Amino acid sequence: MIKWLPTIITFLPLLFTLFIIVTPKDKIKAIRILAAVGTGLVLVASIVMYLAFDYSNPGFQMSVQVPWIPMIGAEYYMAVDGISIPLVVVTALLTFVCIIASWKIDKRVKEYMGMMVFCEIGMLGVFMALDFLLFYVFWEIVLIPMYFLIAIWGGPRREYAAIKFFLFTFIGSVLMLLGILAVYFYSGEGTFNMMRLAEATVPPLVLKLAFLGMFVGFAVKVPIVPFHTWLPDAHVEAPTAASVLLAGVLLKMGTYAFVRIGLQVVPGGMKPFITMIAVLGVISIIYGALCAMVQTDLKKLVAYSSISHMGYVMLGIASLTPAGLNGAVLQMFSHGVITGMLFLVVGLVYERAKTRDIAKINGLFVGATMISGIWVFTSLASFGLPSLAGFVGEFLVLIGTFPVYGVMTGIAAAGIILTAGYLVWTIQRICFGKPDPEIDWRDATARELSYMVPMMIIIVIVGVYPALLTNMITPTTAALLTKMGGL
Amino acid sequence: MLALPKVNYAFLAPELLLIFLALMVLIADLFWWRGRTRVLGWLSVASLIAAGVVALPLVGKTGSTLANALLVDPFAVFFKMVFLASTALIIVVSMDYLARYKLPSSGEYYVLLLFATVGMMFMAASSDLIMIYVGLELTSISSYILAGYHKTDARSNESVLKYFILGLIASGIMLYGFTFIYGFTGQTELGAIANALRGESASLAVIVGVMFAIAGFAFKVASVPFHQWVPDVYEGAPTPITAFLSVAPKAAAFAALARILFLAFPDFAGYWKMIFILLAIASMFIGNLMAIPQKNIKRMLAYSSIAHAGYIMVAFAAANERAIAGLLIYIVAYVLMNIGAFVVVLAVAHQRGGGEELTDFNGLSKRSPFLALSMVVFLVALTGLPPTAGFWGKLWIFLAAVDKGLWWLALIGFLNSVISLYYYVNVIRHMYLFEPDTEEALSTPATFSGVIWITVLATLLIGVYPPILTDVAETVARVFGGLG
Repeated sequence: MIKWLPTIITFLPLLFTLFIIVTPKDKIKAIRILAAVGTGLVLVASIVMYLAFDYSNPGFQMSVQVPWIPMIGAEYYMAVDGISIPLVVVTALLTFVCIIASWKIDKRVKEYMGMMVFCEIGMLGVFMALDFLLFYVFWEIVLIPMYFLIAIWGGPRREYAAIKFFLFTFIGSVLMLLGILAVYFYSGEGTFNMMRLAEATVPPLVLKLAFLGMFVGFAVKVPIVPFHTWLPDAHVEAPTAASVLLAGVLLKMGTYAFVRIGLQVVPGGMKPFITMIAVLGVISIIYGALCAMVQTDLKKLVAYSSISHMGYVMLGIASLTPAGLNGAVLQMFSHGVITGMLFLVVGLVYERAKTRDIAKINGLFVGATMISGIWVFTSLASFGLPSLAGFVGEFLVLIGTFPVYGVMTGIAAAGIILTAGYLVWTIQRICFGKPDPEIDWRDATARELSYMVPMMIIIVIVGVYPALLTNMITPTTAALLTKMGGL
Repeated sequence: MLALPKVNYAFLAPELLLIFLALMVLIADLFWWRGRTRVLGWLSVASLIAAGVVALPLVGKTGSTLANALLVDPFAVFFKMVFLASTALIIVVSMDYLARYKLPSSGEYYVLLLFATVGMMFMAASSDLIMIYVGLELTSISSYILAGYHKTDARSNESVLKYFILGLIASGIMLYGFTFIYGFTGQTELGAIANALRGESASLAVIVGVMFAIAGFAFKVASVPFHQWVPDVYEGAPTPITAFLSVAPKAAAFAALARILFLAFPDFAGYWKMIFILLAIASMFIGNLMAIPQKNIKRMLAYSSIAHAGYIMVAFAAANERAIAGLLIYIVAYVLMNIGAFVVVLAVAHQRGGGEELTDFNGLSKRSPFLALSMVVFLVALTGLPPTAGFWGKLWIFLAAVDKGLWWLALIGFLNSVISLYYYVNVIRHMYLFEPDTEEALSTPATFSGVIWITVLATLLIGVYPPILTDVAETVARVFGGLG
C-alpha cells in the first residue's frame, strides 16, 4: 500500500482537476473548496510519505515499477529517496498555500483553480519519476497551466511574459529530450529507466554532448545566467500564486534535475563541465544580487534574488562534496519556502498599496505591522540569518565548496553581503518612513496569517533543527557521491 | 487467349462492398430520399462501418490477389481502417454543415467521399504502379469536385481550378516517372521491379523515374516546394472537406510512397533518403514560418499541415522499421488532432454561418468552454507536447532518426515544434485572453460535439497510454521487415 503513495500523491490533483471541470463555473465557493481539499489531501499524503520514509535506506523507496511502453522500454517507475521527499513536501505545501492565498481571486475562478491543481500533477511527478520519458512528460505538463496562469491572471505585460516563458522552457526541454534520446541509444540498453541507464556505458563524447543538451533544458529552468532572461518577466507579470509556484517549485525542477540526472544518471557527461557550472553558479549569485539591488519594483527584486539564491544551489551541486550537496538540497527546500513567502508578502503589499514601486511604499511598519514583521522575518531568513532555514543551506554549500573552489567560495560568500545589503536596504525603504495616507493599510487578515504563520514556523524549525531534513538527505547524497566517485 | 488471374474476393470484400453501398447511396438519393441530408449521411456512415466490419477478418492475414497487384497485409488493413474511420468522422460532421449552408446534392457529396475512400484503400493496398495510380486518381478526382463544392463562391472556384490544374500536372509528372521505371525494368509490380533492379548500378533513368514519382506524391502530401495550392484550397473548400483533404489523402499518399520506395527501390535508398531530408527540412521550416503571420485559421492550419508533412517525411529519411511505425503512429495522431481542430473551426463558424478568422475565436473560452478546452488539447497535440498522441508520433519518428544517426534532423524537427508552438499558442491566446465580441453562448450541434469528444478522448488516451497504438504500429511495421 505504502509503495503507491507517490502515485496517489501525483494523481490526486488530476482527480480534483476533473471534479473542478465538472463543477458549474458559478459555484465559486465549491470550486475553491474542492481545490483546497485536493491540494490539502496531497499535502497530508506527502507528510505521511515523509513520516513513512525509512532513514536507514539510502536507495529508492516506495517504488512502483510497471511496464508502460514496453516497445521502447519506457516504464511507469515512481519512487522517492532523500532528495525527492523534501521537494515533494515543499511542492505540496506551496500549492496548498497558493490555493488559500488565492481565495480572493474572483476572475475566472474555475479556470484558475483548475489550472493550479492541474499544474501540481507535473510538479509532483517530476520529483518522483525515475523513467526518462515519464520525467519528460511531467516536466512538460507544467508548462501549459503555467502559461495560462501567467497569461490570464498576470500583470500588464502578461502575454509577452507568458509566451516568453513557454518558448524558453520549451526550447530547453526539446534539447533535453534530444540528450535523453542520445543516452538512450548509445547505452544500447533499450530502456528509459534512469537507474539502469546510470549503470550503462555510453561513449564519453556522446555523454558529454547529451549532457550539454540536457544542461540547456535544466539551466533554463533553474535559471542559470545567461539563460535567465525569461524569469524577471515571468515572475513579475505572474499573479502572486503563480510566482510562488514558479520560484518555489519550478526552479527546483531544474536544480533537482541536475542532481538526479546530471549527477546520478550521466555523471560522466556532467563532470567535465563541473567547473563551468560552478562558475556560472557564482556569476548567477553575484549578477542576481547586483540586479536585485537596483530594482525599483519589489517583485522584480525578489525575482532577481531567486536567481542569486539558485546560484548557491548550483555551486553546492558543483562542489560534489557531501556538505555542498546536502546544502544544495536543503537550500532547494528552504528557498522554496522562503521565496514563496517573499512573493506572498509582495502580493499582500500590492493588494493594499496597488503598487509595487519601492519608492512609493513607505511606513509599512506603521501601516501594517504584522505584514511588515513577516517581511522582515522572511528577509532575514532569505539572506541567511542563523537559526532560520536559509542559513543552514547556504552555510553547508559554502563549507562544502570551500575545499574545492576556494576563490569562488569567497566570491559567493561576498554575495551574501550583497543579499543582506539589498534586503536590509529594502526593509529600510518600505517598512520605515511615513505611510502614504492614500493607501488603506489593512493589516494581515486571519486567512493570510493562517498560511504565513505555519510557513514561518517551518522556517524556524528547519533553521534550528535541520536534522529533520538532513537526516533524510545525507544518506542519499552520500550514497550518490560514493557511486559517482567524487571529482 | 489471355489467362485471367484468379481473384480472391474475400481480399477485395471491403472495397467491393463500399463501392456497392456507395452506389446504393447514390440511387437512394436519386429515387427515395432526394435531399434528405441526414438520412443519406447516416447511410454513408453505416456503409463505412459495414466495410470496416468486412475488413475485420483480414486483420493479421497476409496474401495477395489480382495477380499480385493487390496486397492484403497488416499495413494495408491498418490504413484501410484509418481511412474508413476518418471518412466516417468527416461525414458525421458534414451533415450539419451541408444543412447549414444549404449545399445542394448532398447525396453526391457523400458518394464522392466514399469513392475517394475506396481510392485510398486501393492506394494503401496496391503493389502495382498502375493500381496505385488508379487509386490515386479516384481519390484526386473526387477531391477536386469536393473542394469546389461551394459552387457559387468565387474564391472557392478559383482555388479549385488551381488545385485541379496543378493536381493534373502532378499526376502527369508522377505517371511520367512511372513510365521511366517501367521502361527500364519492364515491370509495374513493385516486387518485380525490385528484382529487376537487383544488382544493377543506379541508372539515371531509374533515378529520374523515382524522383518524378516522389515529386508527384510530394504534391499530394503538400510538401514544400509543391505546396502553393494548399493554403488557397484549404481556405476555399468546405471546412469538412478541408479536414478530409488535410488528413486522409495525405495518409494514403504516404502509404503508397512507403510501398513504392520500400518494396521497389530499397537499393536506391541512398538517393531517395537524401531527397526526403531536403523535403522534410523545407516543409517544416516553410510550413511553420508561413503559419505564423496567418490571420485565417484555415490558412494557418493549411501551413501547419505542410509542416506536419515535413515531420512525417523525416520517417522516410530514417527509413527503418521504427520509422515506419512512427509514420503510422504519427498519421493516426495527426488524423485525430487535425480532424478535431477542424471540427472546432467548423463549430465556431457554424452559428454565424461563417467566420474563420482568428478574431472569430476571441473569447471562445467564455462562449463555449468545451470547444475552447478541446481546441487547447488539439493544439497542444499538434505542437507535440505530452501527454497527447502528437507527442508520441513525433517521438517515434525522431527516435528512428536519431537511431539512424540523423540526430541533427531530429534537432531541426524539435526546434520546429518550438516554432509551431508560437502560432498554436496564438490561437489559445485568442480563445482565452481576448474578449468575445458577443457574450452569446455558442451552441454546438451534437454531431460536432460527438466527433470532438471522440477525437479528444482518443488523443489523450493514446497520449497517456501509447501502447494501444504503438504496439499495433510496431507490429504492422514488421511488414517491411529487413529494412536497414
